[in-house]
Amino acid sequence: MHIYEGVLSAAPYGREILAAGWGATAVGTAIGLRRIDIEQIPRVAVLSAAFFVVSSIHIPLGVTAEHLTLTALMGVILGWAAFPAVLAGLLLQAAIFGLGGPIVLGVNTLIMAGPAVVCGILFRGPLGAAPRTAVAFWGFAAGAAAVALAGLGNGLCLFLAGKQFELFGAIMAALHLPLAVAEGLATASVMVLVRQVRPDLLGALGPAGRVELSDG
Amino acid sequence: MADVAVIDTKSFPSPRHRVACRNGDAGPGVFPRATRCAAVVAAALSLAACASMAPAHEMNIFVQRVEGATVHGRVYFKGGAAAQGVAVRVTDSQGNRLGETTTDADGQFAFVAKTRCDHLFSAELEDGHATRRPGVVRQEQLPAHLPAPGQPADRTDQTAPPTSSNSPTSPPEPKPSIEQPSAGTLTSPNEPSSGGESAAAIAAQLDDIRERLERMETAVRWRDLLGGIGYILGTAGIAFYLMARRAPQGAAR
Repeated sequence: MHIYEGVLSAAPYGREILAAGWGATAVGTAIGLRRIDIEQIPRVAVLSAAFFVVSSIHIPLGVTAEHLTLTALMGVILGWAAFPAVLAGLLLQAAIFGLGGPIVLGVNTLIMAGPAVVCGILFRGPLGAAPRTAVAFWGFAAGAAAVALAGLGNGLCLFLAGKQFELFGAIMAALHLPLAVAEGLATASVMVLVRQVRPDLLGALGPAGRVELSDG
Repeated sequence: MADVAVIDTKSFPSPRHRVACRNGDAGPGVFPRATRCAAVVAAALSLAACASMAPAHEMNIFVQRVEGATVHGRVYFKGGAAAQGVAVRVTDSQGNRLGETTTDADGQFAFVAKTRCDHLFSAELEDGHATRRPGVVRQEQLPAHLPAPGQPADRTDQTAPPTSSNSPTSPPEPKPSIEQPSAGTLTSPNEPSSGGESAAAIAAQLDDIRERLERMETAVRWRDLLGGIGYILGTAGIAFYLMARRAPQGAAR
């Protein structure tokens, strides 16, 4: 889901897209940073590290290979703080592995963190209210939606930049659909686990762990 | 005092840590579940990592050898999977277009050089995947009889098909080139003029080693992943420090 450095710069409206991407990412990151309190720091760090690791591990998928992102999980648990988390992960990927690059970092962060925030807003309520059996379903929906939105955003950026994107439909169907299923399954299993050990992270009420903690 | 303890335990990243910290002598009912969950996560992560460490959606292009005026190369995704049917663009060092060819089912391509100048090979898919660095053939690697870029071409060589079947206008046999490939460029000896078979065998082995080096360079490695995690956790530590410094002031107001 990365757009590579130089792809957009060469496109007719690429510079505008790059600037818009950086602008939106700056706003999102600023909002995210303002909302991080001291208790959220470890969550942001752990999820950012998980994102960095998971999106560095690529799974062969036909001719190409894709990776999981767990952005939906970030959106649900972190909300707007997903922006700084994704930004840190992508910055390291660009620096260490050369995936993406400094100029296109803004657009890439927006493509991944935007869907995360959207999924957080859409699915945090259902996930918190859902009985344990339904957590897997909502988790799957959140994960799949995040990938679909990211793929859509990726294609839209290339399209708006004036880049020929003839394979848009084919690639969306052929690559992002199985990826969305894989991401959905991964997100669902993580959500089920999180719901069991830290239900408060998903906004569920009456977490037993919380009560135990406060009387310690 | 109690408040401090609560913040500390809540701030631990994993529930296992929290439980372990809070109950030094945790009862058997609490510990096993947390341990089990941590083990499941660790197992899943390591399984996923071991299953496929390398392949990626990043493309690489690799010039394997130059035979006469024909340049052979390969386009592959990170980790080695062949990029099939990808258009390979050929330009000179100024970016002027020299031609185009396509990869076959193994990701192999062949291109017949028409002029004697530096050739840069790059590939790009429509969805934004592109080769990061071009494959480079220096002009010294090409036969001396080819015309320089400005001069009119004295031959009408066509782009070779990606498969190994030779076109009727196959490239001329390389004349023994006077210039040797410069030591700095990643080139293999391409003229088995003297030494015959052994030179060709060495060239083939060198190609293999070059390709392995190239793959090693582009592979995702554990130490890089661990380093990245370290950076993130270090940043979190700094954030903790800064916020902890700010917190008492906020409380005092």
